[in-house]
Parts: sequence; C-alpha cells; structure tokens
Amino acid sequence: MKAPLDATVDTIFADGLSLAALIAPVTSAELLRVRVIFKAVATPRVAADGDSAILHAGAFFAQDEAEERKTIFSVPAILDSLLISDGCGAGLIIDLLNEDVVEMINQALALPMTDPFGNEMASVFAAYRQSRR
Amino acid sequence: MALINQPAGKLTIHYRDASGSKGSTEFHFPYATLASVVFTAADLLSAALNAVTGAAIDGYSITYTKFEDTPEAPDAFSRVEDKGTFIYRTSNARTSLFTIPAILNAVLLPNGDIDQTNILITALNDAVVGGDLVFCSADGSDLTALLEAYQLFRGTTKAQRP
Repeated sequence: MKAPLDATVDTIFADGLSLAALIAPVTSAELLRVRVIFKAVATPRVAADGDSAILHAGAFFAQDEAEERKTIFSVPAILDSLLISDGCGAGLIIDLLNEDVVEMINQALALPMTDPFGNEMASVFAAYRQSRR
Repeated sequence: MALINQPAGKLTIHYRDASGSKGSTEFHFPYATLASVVFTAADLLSAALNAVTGAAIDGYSITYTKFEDTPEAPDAFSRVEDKGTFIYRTSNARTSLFTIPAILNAVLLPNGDIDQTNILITALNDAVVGGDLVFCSADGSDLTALLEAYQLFRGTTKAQRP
C-alpha cells in the first residue's frame, strides 16, 4: 500500500494494522511483519565515474563508546585515491585522515548510527578496500 | 502475540556504477528517530558519500519494521502465490492495485472473480475508499472505487514449494 509522504510513521503503522485486521479474515496466510518504507530518488540521475565498479567496496568498521560492540558498513566503488599508498596495507587500507572520508564518517555517525540492535556507534576505527564478486 | 519494533530503523543508500551494476550501503539508526530527521541526515550523508565513491547515488530508502514475535501457524495448504488482486480507480482517473496473498476460496466466485458482495470484502473495500485510512495511489491521489478484483496465481519459486 502507498501512503502520502507527509504521513507519519505512527499513522501509517496504525492504519496498516487496521487494514491488516480487515485482510486477515480473507486470507489463509498469517501476518509476519509490517514495514514502512520512505523512498528518495535522485533527479536527475547522474553518470557514474567511467572506471567505477560496485565490487570494489570500502569496508568501514565502527564501534561504540566502550569499544565493545562493533558493526560494519560498506561503500561500493570506493575511490582508489582514498587508499594509503605507502607502507604495510598500501593499496588496501583506507586513509581515515582523508578529509572526504572524515566528513563521510562524521555524517554517518551523526545519524546517529547504531548497529542492527540499536546500540549507538561512536567511532570508525578501521577501513579497507574489499573486492567482491 | 504482538507486533514489536525492530531494534533499529534502516537507511539504505542506492548506487549504480559505470557498468550499470547496483550496490547499496546500509546504516541503522535508533528506531525512535523521526523520519524527517533521518531524511535530513540522509541528504547530508549522501552528499558526503558522493565524495568517496565513483558510483552514482540514485537515492535512498528509510525503513521502519514491526514484526510478529509469535506468529500463528497459517492454514494448511495456504499458498501465498494464490493472490487476490484488487484494482482501484483513483481520483485522477488512473488505477492502483494491491494484492492479498493466500486469498480464501470462500470469497471467490466460480469464474475467479472476488465476490464484491461478500461481507468481508465490502468491509475491506469500505475501509480502503472510505477515507479513514491514510492509503493512496503511488502518485498520492485518493483511491475512490473498486474497479475489479480477481484471483491471480503468481509463479512459485523454489523456496515457496510446500
């Protein structure tokens, strides 16, 4: 079902459950979950860089304040220019001091970012390039 | 038995590379965060991600999920591919549809139409077009009347076999 963009999550859930109560008597299946999804689409669509490849992802490792709970997020087609070029890890490790990387991490943490269990993350402590098939 | 919130909401950023392949980044945020707040943060985050990826960012989605903690067992032999399809007229002279998986045979007519005089169907239809619920078509126009409703079988995937 679609809902107006200005409808609140609570309103959509409440009406969704009202509708589910009316649907339940006409289906032999059982309700498992209800999702509210808001979508934003870039307009106009822009072209990707000519040599970009989704499978070259940047894997970023975040942790909570106590450095106990950790989570990961990946950025597809990470730029080669963000990889360190000297020493151990050259061409693999992402430079966490790069200003664009710092800005991205700051914006991600400001969500505020949590792990899937709702524990708030406080910092990103490592990042490297991963190539996936 | 209750619908409970997942521990966190999910923000998914969608990408497209030079070959047209698609990828995504998933972030989680506290479930209680207002969608309007996440939209603002997602716009800033998308701009920051744009500086570290060679892919184009096509958009993002924000998801809140509730799930049944102790779901009941479905009826024996119920199949989600056996759907009831409901097509509605909209206030801007277009149509919009939704489907109900595992539609009961009891609300079907012999020709495969859904019996629009069935009391369960009239109650559902009244709620959809009555204006009490927030739902609308994809372009935001109101659902005004049920145009047609019928049984429709969808292809069974390997995972859906009994």
